[in-house]
Amino acid sequence: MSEMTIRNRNNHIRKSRADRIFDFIIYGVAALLTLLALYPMYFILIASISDPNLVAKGDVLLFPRNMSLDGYAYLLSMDNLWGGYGNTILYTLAGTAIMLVVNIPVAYSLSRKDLAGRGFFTFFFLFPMFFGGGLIPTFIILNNTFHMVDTFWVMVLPFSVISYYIVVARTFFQTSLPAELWDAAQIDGCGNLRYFFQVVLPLSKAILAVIALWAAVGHWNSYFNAMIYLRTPARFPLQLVMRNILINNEMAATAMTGSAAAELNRKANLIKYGAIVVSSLPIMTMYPFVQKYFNQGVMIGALKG
Amino acid sequence: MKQLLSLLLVLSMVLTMGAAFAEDDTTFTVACVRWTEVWGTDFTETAFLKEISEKTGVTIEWQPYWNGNWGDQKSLMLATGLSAMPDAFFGSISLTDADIVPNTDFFVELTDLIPQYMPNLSAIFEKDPEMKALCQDADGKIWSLPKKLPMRPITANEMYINKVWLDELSLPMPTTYTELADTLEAFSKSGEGRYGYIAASSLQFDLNNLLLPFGVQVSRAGNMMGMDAEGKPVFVPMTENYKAAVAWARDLYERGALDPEYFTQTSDMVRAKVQDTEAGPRTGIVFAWTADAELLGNAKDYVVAEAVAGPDGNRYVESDPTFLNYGKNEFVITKNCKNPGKLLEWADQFYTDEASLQTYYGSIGDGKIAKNEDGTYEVLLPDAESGINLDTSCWTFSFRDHGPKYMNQEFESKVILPTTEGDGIKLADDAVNAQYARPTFPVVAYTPDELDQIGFLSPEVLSYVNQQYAHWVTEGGVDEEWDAYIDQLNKMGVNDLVQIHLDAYARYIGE
Repeated sequence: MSEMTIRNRNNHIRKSRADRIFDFIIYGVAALLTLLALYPMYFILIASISDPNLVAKGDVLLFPRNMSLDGYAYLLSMDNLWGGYGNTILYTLAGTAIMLVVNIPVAYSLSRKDLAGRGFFTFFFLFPMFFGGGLIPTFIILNNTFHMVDTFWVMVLPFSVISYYIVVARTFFQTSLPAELWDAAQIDGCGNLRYFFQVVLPLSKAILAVIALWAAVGHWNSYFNAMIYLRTPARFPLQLVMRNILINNEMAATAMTGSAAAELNRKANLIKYGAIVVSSLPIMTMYPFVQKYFNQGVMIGALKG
Repeated sequence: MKQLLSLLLVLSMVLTMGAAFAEDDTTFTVACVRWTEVWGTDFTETAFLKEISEKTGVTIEWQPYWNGNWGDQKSLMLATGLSAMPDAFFGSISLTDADIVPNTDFFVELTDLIPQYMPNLSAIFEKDPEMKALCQDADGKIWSLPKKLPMRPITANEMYINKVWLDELSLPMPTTYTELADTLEAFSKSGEGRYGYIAASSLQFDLNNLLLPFGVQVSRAGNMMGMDAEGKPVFVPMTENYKAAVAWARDLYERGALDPEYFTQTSDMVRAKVQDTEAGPRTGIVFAWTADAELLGNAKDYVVAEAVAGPDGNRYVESDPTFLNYGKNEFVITKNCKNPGKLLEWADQFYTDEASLQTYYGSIGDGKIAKNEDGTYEVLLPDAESGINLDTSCWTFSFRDHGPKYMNQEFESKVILPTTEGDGIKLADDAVNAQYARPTFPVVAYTPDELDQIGFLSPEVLSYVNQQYAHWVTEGGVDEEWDAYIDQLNKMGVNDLVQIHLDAYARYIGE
C-alpha cells in the first residue's frame, strides 16, 4: 500500500526529506536483497568456468579466473548425461501431464458446493498433506504389491496427487467461477462434463499454467525418488546422474587410497558447478513464458482463499 | 469364442513356461556396490567372468549400486526384507557386520556349505587359518566369504617430504621427532603461504600419521584401539603417550609449523593447496598412500621419508595388514537363492592365484595382463590414448579391492608390476619403512549385543575425544585439563566401551 501512496503523492507534491530518506532505505534494502539472491547464481556461473583449485581455495569471488571450458567439455562428452537428459524430459512431460489429469478434476469437484460428501472428500485429500505413510511402507507397497520398482511408471504414477496443488486450484475455481455461470450453462442445456471442458478449463488457463510449472519443476529437480526406486542406470534422470558423479566421486576420494581416487576427485571438482548450470538452465528458461500466469494465478488463488 | 479361449490357453501356457525358464536354478542376481558411476559397468563383462561362467554353467545378472546412494537403498532393502533383495551381495562395501549380524534370518549360513562346494577355499582355510578366523562370527558361524588382497604393502601411509625445500634450505633429512618439528618450522618460515604441514585434521588420521612417533597407532576400524609397548590392547586417547603426542602437536601449532587452518578447512581446500602447480605445492610434508595420490603433478618434488625416531627411540610406521589386506563380507548369499551350492561353486573359482590376479588388475583375456611363457605375469599399463592411469584401469576392468580373492605368497614373485605407476610405486616406497611395522589392534568380531552397546556409547565418547584434541592443539592446556578429561570420559562410560573391545580381542586371540 505504502508504495502506491508514495507514487500518487509524487505526481502532485514535492517529496519531503523524510520521504526521500524512506525511499532511499526501501530501495537500498530491495537492491541488497536482489544482490543476495543473484550472487549465488552468478558465482555458480563464474565458478563453472574457473580453475577448480582456485575456486576451492576461495580465490574466485567476483570474476572468473584462469578461465577454461574443460568442465563443460567433460560434461558434454559423457554418454549418461544425454541419457539422463532424455529420461528427465520424458519423466517431466509424462509426470506433469499425469499430475494435471489427476489433480485438476479433483480440485474442481471439491470446489463445487453441490458435491455429495464434500466435507469427507476434502478431509480425505487434505489429510496426507500433514501426515504421510513414511518411506519404508511406501517402498514395500510399491515393491511387493505393485511391482513398480525400477520401471518407468514408478517415476510418474505414484506421488502424483499433491494436496497443495488441489487446495490452490480449488480456491481458484471457487473464487473465479461464479455459481451463476453454472446456472446459466445448465439453462442452456449444458452438462457437467461439457461445462468442465468447454467453460471451466478455458477460463482457468492461469491456474493450469501455474500447476504445470510447479509440477514440471518438481519433476525436473527430483532425484530422491529415482535414487530409491530405480536400479537400472539407463533409467536414471539427469539429477541422479549428476549426483552420482559428484557425491560418489567425493566419497570415493576420501575413502580410497591410490591414484584412482585423486583422479576421481579432480573430475568431481572440475564439473561441480558446470553440472548445476547444465541441469538447471533448461528449466529456468521456462519461467519467462509462464511468468505472467504465475503472478496472476497464484495471487488469485492465495489471496482470496 | 472357442478359438479365442484356446488361444488364451496357449498364451498363458507359453507365459508360464517363459516364467519357468527365467527362474532356472543356474541364473542368479548379484548386487554389487561400486565407488562411482564414472567407471561404468565393464567390470561385469570381463574375460575372466565369461570363463568361469562357462566353466560352472552359472549365469550372473549383475545389479550395480553406487556408494553415494547405497546407504539409503540398503536400509530400505533390509527393512523391506527378502522381496527386495537379490540372490547374493558381492564385495565388502555392500554389507557390513552391522547389516548382517542382526539380520541373519535373511542370509544363508555357509559354515557347512563351504567344505561341500568350495574345494579351493577349503584348501586356503587349511593353509591360512587367519582367513577362516576372520570370517567367523562370535559363535564360530560363517555368513560371508573372506578375501586377502594380493601384492599389498606392509605399511599403510608413508611420510613424503618436500625434497626441493630441503635442498633450498640446505636442511638434512629429519631423523627424530624433534628434528622433524624444527624442519617443519623452518619450512613454514621459508616463504609466504608455505607451511610445514597442511592437512584437514582428524584425530584418527593424525594418530596414524603425524603423531605416530609417539607410538599411538590406532585401528583403521575407527574404534581408537591400539597396542601399548608391551603389545597389550589399549584405548589410545587415554594413554600417557597420547598426552605427550598432543603436547607435541600443540608445540608444532604454536611455532607455526602447522597450517593455521589445520582444524577448520575441508579436504577439498587442502587438495587445492597441495595440488596447485602454479604456486608450487605449499606443504612441507604429506602423509599418503603414494605421493601422487595426494599431490598429483606436484609429487615429483617429494621423496618418501624414513620414519623418524620418537621419544622412546623407536621408529613407528602405520601398518595394519589385517585391516587393509584381509576382509570378510565379500560374498553373502540371501535366502532368495534357490541353489546356494551352485552359486558357491561359481564363487570358489575366485580363490585361485590366477583368478585373484585377474580380479585385481584385469583379465588376461582382455589384454590387461600378459602371461609370459616362463610362467610370469606382466601387468600392462593402459593405453596412453585412454587417458586413465593404471589404478583407474584396475577399478574399471576388475573388482579391484572388492570380492573374494586369495593369492599365495609364492605366486606374488611371478607377478611383474610397472614401476612407474600405482602398486609398483607403493611397493617400492613400502620397502623403506616395512621394517618398522608392528602388530596393531586386529579386526575383531562383535556379538549383536556388543554392536548395540558400541553404537550407543561410542559416538559421544569419540566426539568428546576429537573436540578435546582440537581444543588442546589450538588453545593448549593438555597438562592442566588431563585429569578432568579422564574423569569426563569415565562418566561417559568409556570403561564399558573399552571392555567390549577387550572381550572381542580376547575371543579373537583365543581362536
